[in-house]
Amino acid sequence: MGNDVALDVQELKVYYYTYTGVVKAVEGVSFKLGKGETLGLAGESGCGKSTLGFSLMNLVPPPGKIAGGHIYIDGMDIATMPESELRKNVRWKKISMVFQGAMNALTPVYKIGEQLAEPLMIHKGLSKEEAMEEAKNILPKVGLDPAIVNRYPHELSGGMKQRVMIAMALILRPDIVIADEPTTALDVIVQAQILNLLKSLKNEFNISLILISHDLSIMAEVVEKLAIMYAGKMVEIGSSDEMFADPKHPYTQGLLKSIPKLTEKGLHYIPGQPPDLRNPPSGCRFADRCPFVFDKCRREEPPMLKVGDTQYAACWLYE
Amino acid sequence: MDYVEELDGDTILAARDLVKYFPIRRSVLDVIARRRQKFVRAVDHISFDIKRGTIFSLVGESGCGKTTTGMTLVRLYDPTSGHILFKVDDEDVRRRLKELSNGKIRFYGDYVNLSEIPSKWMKPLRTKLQIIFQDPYSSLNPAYRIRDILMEPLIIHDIGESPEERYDKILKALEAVKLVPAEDIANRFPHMLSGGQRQRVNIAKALLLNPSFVVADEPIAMIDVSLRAEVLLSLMDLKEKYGVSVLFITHDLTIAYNISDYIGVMYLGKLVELGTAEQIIKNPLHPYTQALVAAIPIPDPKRRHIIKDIRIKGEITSAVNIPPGCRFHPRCVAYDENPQVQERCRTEVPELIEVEKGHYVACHLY
Amino acid sequence: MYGMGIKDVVREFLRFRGGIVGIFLLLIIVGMALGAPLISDEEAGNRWYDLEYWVEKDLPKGVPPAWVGVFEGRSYSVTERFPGQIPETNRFILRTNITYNMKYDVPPSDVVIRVRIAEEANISATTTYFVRLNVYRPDGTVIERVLDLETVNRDLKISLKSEDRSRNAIISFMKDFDEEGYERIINQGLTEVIDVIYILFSQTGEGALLERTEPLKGIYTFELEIIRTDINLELDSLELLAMGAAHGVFGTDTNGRDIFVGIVWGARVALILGLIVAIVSVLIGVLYGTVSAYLGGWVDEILQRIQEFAISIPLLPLLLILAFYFKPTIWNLILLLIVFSWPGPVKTIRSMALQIREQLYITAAKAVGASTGRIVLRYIFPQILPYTFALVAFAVPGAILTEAGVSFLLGAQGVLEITWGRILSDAQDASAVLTGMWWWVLPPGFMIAISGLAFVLIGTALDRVLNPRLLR
Repeated sequence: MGNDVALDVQELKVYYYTYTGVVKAVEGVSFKLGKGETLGLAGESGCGKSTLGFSLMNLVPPPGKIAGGHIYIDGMDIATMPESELRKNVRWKKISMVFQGAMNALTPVYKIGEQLAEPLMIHKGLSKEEAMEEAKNILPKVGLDPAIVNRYPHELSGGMKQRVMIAMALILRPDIVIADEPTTALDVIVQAQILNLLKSLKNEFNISLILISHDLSIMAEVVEKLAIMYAGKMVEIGSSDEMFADPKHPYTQGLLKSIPKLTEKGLHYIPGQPPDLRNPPSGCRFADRCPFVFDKCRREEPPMLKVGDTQYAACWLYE
Repeated sequence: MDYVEELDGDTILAARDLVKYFPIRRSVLDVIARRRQKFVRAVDHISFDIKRGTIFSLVGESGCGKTTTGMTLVRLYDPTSGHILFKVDDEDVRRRLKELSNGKIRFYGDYVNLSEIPSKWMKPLRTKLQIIFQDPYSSLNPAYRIRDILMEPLIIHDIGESPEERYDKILKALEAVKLVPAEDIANRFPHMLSGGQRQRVNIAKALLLNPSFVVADEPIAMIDVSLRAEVLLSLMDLKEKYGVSVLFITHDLTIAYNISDYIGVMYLGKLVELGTAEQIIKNPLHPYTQALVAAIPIPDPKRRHIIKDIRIKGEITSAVNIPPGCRFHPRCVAYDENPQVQERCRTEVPELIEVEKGHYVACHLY
Repeated sequence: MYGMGIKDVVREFLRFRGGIVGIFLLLIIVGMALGAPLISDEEAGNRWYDLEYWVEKDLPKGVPPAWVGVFEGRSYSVTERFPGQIPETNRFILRTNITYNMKYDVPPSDVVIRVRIAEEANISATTTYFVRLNVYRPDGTVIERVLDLETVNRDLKISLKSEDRSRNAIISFMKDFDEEGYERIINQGLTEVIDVIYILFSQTGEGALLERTEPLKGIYTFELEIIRTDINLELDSLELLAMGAAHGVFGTDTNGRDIFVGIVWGARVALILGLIVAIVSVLIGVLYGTVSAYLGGWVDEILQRIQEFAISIPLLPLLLILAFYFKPTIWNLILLLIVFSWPGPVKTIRSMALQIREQLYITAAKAVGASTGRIVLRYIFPQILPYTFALVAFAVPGAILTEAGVSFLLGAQGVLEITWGRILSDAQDASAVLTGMWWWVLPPGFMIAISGLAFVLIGTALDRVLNPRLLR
């Protein structure tokens, strides 16, 4: 593992073992995250991006499990690490998460300061006073008044709570931060403010950031590298510039066209539905909805093929 | 009721000074201490017109009162005060209204004032006023098949002479929203359909009654991006093919721009700006509108390094303790920059003024 | 979860073993209830309290079930009838010998002599005749004057066990062989209590009077003499009944009633009462809770206060008091149980209905113009209906148990129909437990328990399948 790679994911498989069948939520995904790089993981509901995010901390809720592959952080394989190790050394110290719907991630019965202090007390062995000081120091960095340490979550607005979540994710100075739909529940102005915040923070704290969202517009605002997921598979990855300028995979193209613009009026959509992941089709999973589909697509699954400088797409069009 | 004279025949619905306050529950102590009843001023004196066959978008952030406005217009809430003038062209509906109310309902020419009509007399009007909700997952009764769900409005309003005729109408409605094969879809239960499909069922359901006005409350917020257009196109068909006027409630300005004819911007219960879609997006006048437009994410990665300048301070204030004067002034950057109007902003509530043709702003800067 | 048709519900239900067991038990009970007319005749069920009917049936009294012998490894005597030869004679003394082969490990519980005088006999109603009985035992001993009485009875049925004279005759006979035993029973006043029929059929020797000797197997000759005072008195029939020591599936009670018949017919009452009370009271309660929840406001408040009042009234004491004034029939009881049971499910149903009321599709229905009634019946009710089935299943055992309790406590003051509770009450009155008549007590108790169990198992399985927490 090179020195400039913060995260190396290889052929990751995450399945949900439900009693109506095995849902193959993530099926053989591979990518690398460089140090200080910002990667966007985009896709629509059910594509597996949130599951992928959780799996990076080995936090997939049951009946889900990592069913194969490797997740290397700092030379350690998260996928096979025992729970006790994960808790002691990895989670929150090396990699942390900003959850979707911050409103629910904060405990309503403890003050903000106490919740921020907790990871410091557990992992760094700080005393309560020391930890509260740290908490007060980090709050201005996310644009909040340090006096908030004495407030309860219900006293804060959605935007403020999300900022607290970001502060919590950064408090142990991890190398990698995963932000799962950090702005979905927020209004457009607050969303813009949070995105501004993420942009400034990633430089200040020198973190590698993974941003998970279905909203490609906010991806464009923040990420350097972009990966598109569909039905559990990664269909395209590349630098953000290349991807937006010249998307190669038909799904990416359709997705970008679907975004309404202010520059020209027009409504586009991709007809059809994503496949049932309990019984995925053979061949390319996008075949049913692809305007360029041909024979081979339905028979064989396309591997990631190089289509640009940094761009790879899993599509037989580029063989 | 002089409002009526101002209306031209093209206006299908006009809200005048519409108010909806929600009383906050008081504890027993509050009552004993004779503390004044506090209200959430969700909708605070708004007025606007919706013309026949147009899409009017009501935009604003959460808590601005747009959803409450929509619910009040279709009389799922009773307005606290104000007028809702609704044009009733349909002879049949007029007749039924008169019958139901024993002639007590007042007609102002072609219009009735929905604020004056108690719930028990609303039934004939419900065919003309419809609403489509945000959540496709809980707006359809999970225990019934699509065809039974679609039968409901027809049965309730006694439309159709026979079950076969009704079934026919249902199939046609499903085809109109491109849910095909219609027979197959009609036989399914809601949980067998995707979010987008369910929303289109809701649109079909609204269509069945042949309405003249439909409120669509954030209908695509819970649907995937690549599938939203499918629902929006069906919604636009309502306007284009069936001449229905739509009040489209959303927080997404880009969508509003792409589908509507007119946009109204709400903040904390008041309309702050009103105009055509072009005017609002290309030339926003109110400081709040300007901040909203500035905040819209642009899918251009080259702008990645730009920290956006959004000219707004602080957080949205509560709808209970409304700031005096212009309710936006505590967050207004323009307020800071223009000391000459500060006195007015603090004390006087701004009214909507026409700044260019059809473009109105409520701001003391103008 | 919705779109769950009957087939899906059944399939899910079968995954729970408890539910399957419950259904199985229920089928047994239903089988009993339906098969009652086949197992025993129609009359038996309706005539439980008509003791004359049972007297006619000539069942042994208070004997254990017939299969007890299998477990004990002993043979129990069965009921046998021996007609006597009526001698053709002009004499005043009519003598006949009836032989009985006592070949069982457990001798008969009673010996009954039946004498019927011909109806056409040209005699006055007050003409008497004498009946005498001597018993010749296989060991050569003779008990004389086991019977020695004068009677006018045209249809005479004498149970040796119940006749004082017979008892004394047998005791006197055995006294010679068991002086010590005799002392004992005299001193302790046990003459009324000992099983003289057992002694009649047991070997002589020490302890015979204390029933400690083995039965004496062999041929017994019952020498029966009818001495008429009027030559015109003619006999229609003579009969000796050796009453078995065991009978039937569940034995008999002290009145000679087949307990199995009681159990089987009691199943009908239990099921009918249980189901009617459960279904009606649950339906009322569900409708009440749903409407109260949907209407809300002060209507809801008032309805809830009424329900809370109703549910606080103690049922059993009130029923007992009412029973003293009105003789309860089974239908009155059912009505009363319904009146007291409906408040039960209201609170749960109300909270379910409150949740449903907040669902968006209800608001959508209002927006379309649906009336309150339509919304309650077509939108809210169908969501609650599946849970209602589980509620009914749980309500049935409650109803059955309450009825059993009431019948037990009220005894003869209670309902006239045959119920398991009544059987228990009768058993209590006859001190069945003290006299070791377990077959009178266990079957009804067991049936009450397993009927309750059956419904609870079914209800639990149904609940798991249709759990309202999965609602939406």
